[in-house]
Amino acid sequence: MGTQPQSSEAEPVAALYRQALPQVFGYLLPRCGSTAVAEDLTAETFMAAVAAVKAGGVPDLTVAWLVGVARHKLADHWRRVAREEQRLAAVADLTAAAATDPWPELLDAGAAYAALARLSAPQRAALTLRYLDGLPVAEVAGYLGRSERATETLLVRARAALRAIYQEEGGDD
Amino acid sequence: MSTVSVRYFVDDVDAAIRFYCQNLSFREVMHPAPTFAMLSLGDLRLVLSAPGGGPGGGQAMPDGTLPSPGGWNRFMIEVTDLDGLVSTLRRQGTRFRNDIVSGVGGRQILLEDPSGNPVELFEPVLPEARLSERES
Amino acid sequence: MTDPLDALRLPVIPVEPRREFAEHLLQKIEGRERGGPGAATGHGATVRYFVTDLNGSVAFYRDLLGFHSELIAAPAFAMLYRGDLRLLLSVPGSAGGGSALPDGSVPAPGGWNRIAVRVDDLDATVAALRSRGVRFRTGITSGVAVRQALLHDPSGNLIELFEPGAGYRERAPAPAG
Repeated sequence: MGTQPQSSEAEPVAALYRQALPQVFGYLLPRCGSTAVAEDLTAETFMAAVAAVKAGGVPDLTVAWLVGVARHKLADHWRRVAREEQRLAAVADLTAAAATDPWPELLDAGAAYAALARLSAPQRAALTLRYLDGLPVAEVAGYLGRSERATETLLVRARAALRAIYQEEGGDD
Repeated sequence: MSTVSVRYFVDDVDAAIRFYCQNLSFREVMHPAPTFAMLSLGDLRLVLSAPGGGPGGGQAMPDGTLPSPGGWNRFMIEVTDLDGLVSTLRRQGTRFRNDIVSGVGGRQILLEDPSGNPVELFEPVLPEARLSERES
Repeated sequence: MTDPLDALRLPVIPVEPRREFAEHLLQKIEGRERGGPGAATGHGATVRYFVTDLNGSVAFYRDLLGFHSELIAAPAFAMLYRGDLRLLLSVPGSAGGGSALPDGSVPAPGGWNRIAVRVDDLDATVAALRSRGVRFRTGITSGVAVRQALLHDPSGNLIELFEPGAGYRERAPAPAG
């Protein structure tokens, strides 16, 4: 056996990195609201994967598995942001942050994503999981730590808010 | 003082101390009573209790139930020569719940201490691993 | 009017992050992966508990017992930590740590062996947890130089909370030789 299988066996996350990085980052970026946050969560995802492999907890290391880890990191991030929002009621701050950090790759859907960025964290989380990720409501509820009924209510309000902001942004053409 | 420890119930505290210290390199931290001992391995604090051994963690429940060894929950320790350690333990009659399993990141096996408590041994794949010697 | 929700329903498109970030992260990954035994872990004590509902269990340990979540790989596996302890949660029947053994037996939650977590104010902690619906196996009991209480996680695993008393002394373990 040469050194190649040896190093990928000993460094499985590094071996998968080239293929996995753009997938994980590409998953996180439109859902995050900022490049900086997407980078932080990407780094956390990969470093957590290294720790999990070292602990023998990863039976099958795949890109899909990493994206799943990234999704949970994102949900944790939203949970922290939502707590901050409750404390500071600083929706305006979030708007400002999103406005200064454009995503050039996504300008085609720019108005929709810009509107998404202006929602509160719980609303953004709910819509993203339900519509970008296509998860059923029951699963969305699990990620958000809410009941299904509360999640349905949140989604109704979030959809209405998104449409209202989208029209404001001039997305109606 | 560490903030977390693991408590295992054992039938014979002295035999358990010998097993963990001689085979798995634990060190004795305290042994203040026949039915209680604390060992350490790195950051892991392992408390060994004999069920019914007076006040404290080993005592009976309010309804009289006594704790007992066994179950599936366990602590895990990293080892550097899994094959060698398993051979040594087998020669001593240690029971294993499975054979060595290979996975991403390393190989592992589940042993039982003298009271039947599981311990997970994990050997990570190291970059300088001698793959050719392990192939068979 | 275009529904913005339609615009959101895009497939995941790969995006290359900026090169500095990508290179720096790869170096960190390789550093940890090459670091040898214990280098990637940072937590010396690792315990595996079997649980039946991964998301619910993570929420329990995180929100009620102050654990931090390091990795969640639903539905099968999660890694949490609290101080010196790394707690792995595995769902029985899933590949890896939860898989069936050669004799067909499958791991299950429960048993008497457990983690014991030190808290500063046992009375207040127990009261707060009870008020949040946590099931206790025992009330507060006194041991030798400690007081403790036993509670259940949602899968039926036991967790011991203890508060050392004035007489609690731990002899420092002999240095590694």
